[in-house]
Amino acid sequence: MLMSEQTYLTASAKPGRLLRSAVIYMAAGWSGFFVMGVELLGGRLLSPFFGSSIFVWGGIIAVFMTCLSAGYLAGGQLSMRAPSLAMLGALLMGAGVLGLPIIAVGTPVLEWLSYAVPDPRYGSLAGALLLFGATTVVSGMISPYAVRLLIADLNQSGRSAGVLYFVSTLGSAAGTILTSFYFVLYLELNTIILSMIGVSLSLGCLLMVFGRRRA
Amino acid sequence: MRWRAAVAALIAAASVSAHAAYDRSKLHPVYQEKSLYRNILVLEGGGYRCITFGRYHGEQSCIELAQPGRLVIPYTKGLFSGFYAVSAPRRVLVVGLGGGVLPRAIRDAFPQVEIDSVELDPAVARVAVSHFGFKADERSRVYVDDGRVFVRKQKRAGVRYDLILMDAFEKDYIPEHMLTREFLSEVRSILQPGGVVASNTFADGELQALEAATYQSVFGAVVDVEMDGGNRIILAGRDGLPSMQAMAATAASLDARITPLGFDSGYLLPRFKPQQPIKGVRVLTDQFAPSNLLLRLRH
Repeated sequence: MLMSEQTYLTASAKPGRLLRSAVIYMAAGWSGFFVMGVELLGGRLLSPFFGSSIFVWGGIIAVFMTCLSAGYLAGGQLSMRAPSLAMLGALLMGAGVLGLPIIAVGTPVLEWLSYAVPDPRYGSLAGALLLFGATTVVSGMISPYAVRLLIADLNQSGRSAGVLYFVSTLGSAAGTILTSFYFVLYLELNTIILSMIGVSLSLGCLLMVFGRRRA
Repeated sequence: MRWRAAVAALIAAASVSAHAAYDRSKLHPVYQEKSLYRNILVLEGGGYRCITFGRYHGEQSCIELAQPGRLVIPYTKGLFSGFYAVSAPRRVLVVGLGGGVLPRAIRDAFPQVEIDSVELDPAVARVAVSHFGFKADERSRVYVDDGRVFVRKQKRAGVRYDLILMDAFEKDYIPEHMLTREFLSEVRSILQPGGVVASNTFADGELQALEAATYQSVFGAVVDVEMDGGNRIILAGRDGLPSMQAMAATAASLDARITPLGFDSGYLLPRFKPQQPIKGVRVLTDQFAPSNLLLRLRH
């Protein structure tokens, strides 16, 4: 695998390799965007049931951080076995699909939880875990998996990882600011979440097709 | 406890002096506290003491030290317009305690009424007691909770109110989950038949039309009570509001009780303006509630 990729670098197929890197970075950047968009809107979804105090945000942020960290472990582990663009695409699509219950059952779940766990701290923690946990774990898998796909050469590995962090964190920043400053001004929460899931599915599809064609 | 004694001493000292007009330029800070939610600032001067959430914010509520039972800030008087729209209220909910001025004034004017106050910030509830002479008792209870969460709890517990006074909005901050169709429906659901909500609002600019559309979507026809200082009270009834004549008659019958608070029906009634029906404007919902962004957008 490593050998063949190094051949790509030196061979005439360099533009193809650039394109390949570009879609991997795009996946990581979008994943960052998606996670932060969902996190911010998550605060909004929880507020009718638990308020919007510092406790509630504490619960949400703790869940996202914990799930991302679990995702990093899982994504690294997954990258040990036949890493492929198609699998990266599948992860993106998986994160999108796992976001659907937020829209489908979000309100009844939170309504039930607000009676079962009235303490806003544990209520928001449980609510965030139930609704956003799965999609966030899978989103967390994307970055380490993408690092594995990018690294063709040990000397370049730090730089590749650096660029990946750059893209993924910048994506998070973009998702944060666009969602909170602009999207909420025009769109309903469910519309925003559905659109983001739509982008994840499309981008995942693109990666799968691209990966298959190159394989 | 030390503060309560100090308040009492101050009130006694001040009551010797003549009634002085409220002048906010004379106020200076006497106490501040950074709470989880706010910078709480207690200001004093010219015979008045006020609670505010920042030097350049509006005063949340004030007391005249010589006559702490009188209402000072116009909107607190305006919220009493709610009493003109209900007959013989037995249980009242106050959302947003501030200095405790409202439950105290209700207690003074309507001693038989049972009052629940809900306040998000425990530090505000403490300052109401320490600096504003507010006292909770078995018929005037204070709950520390998010307003919306508390309304949902009361709904589930089957508690119903004749009158709900909402004082949770500021000039430059709106708790967005408390200005949506869903929240107002929850509020309506804990009103007794014939029950009324009176809500203090500062909304202007783009937000005003959306706010009106939201109230109308839940309550139908509502009345604005236009106050000085850029705010209004929105009056809305679970089953509509009484006619203007009926509210005027109730108001006149309450003057004897309300005059000691520092105003009367002649001050409030001319401010009643039925809200124009709003069409073609988006209603604020749990799904769409950019209230604070809209608050800053002017026409």
